[in-house]
Amino acid sequence: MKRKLFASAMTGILAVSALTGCASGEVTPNEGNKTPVAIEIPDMTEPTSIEMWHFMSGKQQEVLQSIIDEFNATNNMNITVSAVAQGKIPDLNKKVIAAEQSNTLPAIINVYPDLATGLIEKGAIYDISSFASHPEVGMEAELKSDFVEAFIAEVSQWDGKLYGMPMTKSTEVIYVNKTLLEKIGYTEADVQGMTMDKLAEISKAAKEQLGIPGFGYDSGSNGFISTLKMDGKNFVDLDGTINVDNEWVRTFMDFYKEQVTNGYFRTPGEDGFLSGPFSNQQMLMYQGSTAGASFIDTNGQFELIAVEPAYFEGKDKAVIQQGGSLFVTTDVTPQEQFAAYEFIKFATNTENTAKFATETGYLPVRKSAAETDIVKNILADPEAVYAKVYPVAQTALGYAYYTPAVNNAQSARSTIQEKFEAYVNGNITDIEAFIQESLAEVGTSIQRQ
Amino acid sequence: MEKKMNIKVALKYFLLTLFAIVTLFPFYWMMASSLKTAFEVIQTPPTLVPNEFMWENYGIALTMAPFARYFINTVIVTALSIVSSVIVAILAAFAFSHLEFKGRDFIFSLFLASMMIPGEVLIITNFKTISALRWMDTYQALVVPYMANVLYIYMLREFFLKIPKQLYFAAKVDGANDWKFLWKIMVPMAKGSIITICILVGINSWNSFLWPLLVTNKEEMRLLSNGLTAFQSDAGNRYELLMAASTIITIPVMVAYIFLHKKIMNGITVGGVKG
Repeated sequence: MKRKLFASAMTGILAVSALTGCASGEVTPNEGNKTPVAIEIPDMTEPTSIEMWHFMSGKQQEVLQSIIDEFNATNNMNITVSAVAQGKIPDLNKKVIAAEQSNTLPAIINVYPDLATGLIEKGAIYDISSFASHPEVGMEAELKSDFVEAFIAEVSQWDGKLYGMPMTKSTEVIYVNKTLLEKIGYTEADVQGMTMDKLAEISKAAKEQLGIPGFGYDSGSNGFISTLKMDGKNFVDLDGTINVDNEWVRTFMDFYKEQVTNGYFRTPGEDGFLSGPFSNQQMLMYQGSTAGASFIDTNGQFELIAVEPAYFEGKDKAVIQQGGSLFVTTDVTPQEQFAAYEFIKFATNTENTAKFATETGYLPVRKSAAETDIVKNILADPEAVYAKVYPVAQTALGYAYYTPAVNNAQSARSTIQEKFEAYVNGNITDIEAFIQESLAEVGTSIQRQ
Repeated sequence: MEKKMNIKVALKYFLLTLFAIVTLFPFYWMMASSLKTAFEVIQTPPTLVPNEFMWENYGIALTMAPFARYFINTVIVTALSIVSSVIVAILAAFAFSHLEFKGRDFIFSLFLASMMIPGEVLIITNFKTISALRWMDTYQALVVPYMANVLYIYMLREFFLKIPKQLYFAAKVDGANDWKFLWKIMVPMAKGSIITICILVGINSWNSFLWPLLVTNKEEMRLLSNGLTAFQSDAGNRYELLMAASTIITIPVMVAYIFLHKKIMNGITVGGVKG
């Protein structure tokens, strides 16, 4: 009898083992609410608590929390928002994908548009244009005239619906060590609006006179995609067309390869963030995110300036605008969706976007932020790094583009960065091989679910 | 002859010192970096000893995330994982090695086959299960999915199979039932293997990052490894603070090893000889 009981207990253990070890996933998740809600404003008399998942950390998280605290204390609809940091962008993405499958997404997610594309296809993102265009609670006029057009265009790229609102946005500038620049016989005027040929000329001088590379891309993929865009081409179109097999790619890849081979440019992706070598005066200039300015430490040893990214003679100027946006999900109740919209409206109002941007290094998402005391004060401070970056970024935003939110675009970007690096380093020797490998691997990336 | 021996000993000590330096250098580098300024930590060429000891980095790092709470959670989860994994492994290994029941070998083959499934594939289904059970933000969510590990069951089963059947029958003759035989005879004999499993589970649990992040949303339920992301952003990293936090996380494990290393090594050696 005892033996039988023992055997049963063992079988039980085996069953638990099988369940936990193999993760059968046979438990049926609740279906959640994937149906779009009607336009009427939900009744908000009952207290509503919502969550926001994001990838912010440190100072960014601190400023976000202060905005949330203010919203929780001042809103008259009993809405309580809590923010949950979900690690870095790839970590957050994994969590969002898992939560989408179990219909447990929070009310707001702060993700990049390429992830949103997959979620929109699955009906997991709520189109907030119904609230945004509402006569009582809407903000249609501001969306048209005050928000930065490029940012709104990016979150409206899916059938013209408004699936998100911009918040953690940035663009790129070129950071220049002015002290070293003058040492090699050039001035600030030489790097303002410079062409790639001028950039190569100055970089050559830096190499010859100082023994350091003149230039590098913080993000090699951005460098590649922006150069392609100068010829009017998207890296990957929204329909999945990959534009790497053309004469322009052959031309500019050889240009970059020559610069790297001669030691005038650093290999893209070589150091991760280039703020380190730049702060150490190991390079003269680099093109990087405006949000990365606070990581540059001149240590009082040189003067920093920021200028617009260089462009190829005869081509268009092109600079990427990128970053996460706030998306409202369909896994929550209509009350929670409305609460999410109200919070997003608050977080992106003129004062808050100015506050968030100036304290974190991101860009304000509204043009009217420039009129606030917060921005005016920081621009008046000659020592503030943000004051050097902000005006340049505002000019660059005039022609900034966004990448079509293709499924798995981040993976495609990693692939092209890798190939770009391999080609300029000589690990891929033939341009045709570069093109064919890029086509095949980027194609695989964007088709992966 | 003596000279030859001296050279041999000197060479041995030279190699041991070299390997010790290679092993310990990353720890030294982590600690040295944790005491540098934001500028010095990214300086090239790097400095071996900090120019100025920035002890305040530890203070700043500790304020950027609730590390005390993370530490308690990590200790609880690691302890629960070790205990539960070992119990499951012992019982399952015993069943697969000494108990006769229909389909035993087939079930074990299925277990082995499940080892071929990459862990990443299981994450989503495990998450769905935990979510459906409403276990988010609980210790069971952090422990239960990893309670049963086929590798540990396999390791222990192999050891149990080496113990002669005669011992089992002799124990039966002496009136011991299966339960008593398992805990009084088998487990003490398998001490070495069990300690090895404890170490492996402990290391995995202490270092696990993605799973705790997935199944927790409340700060008070997160683990030490999750706290490290507080110093990394999409635009740059605060390396000196990251290193300070890494040191805080690593020191308890190193201290535990210093105090327990004799027991751990003895356990492994004894188990090895008996096995």
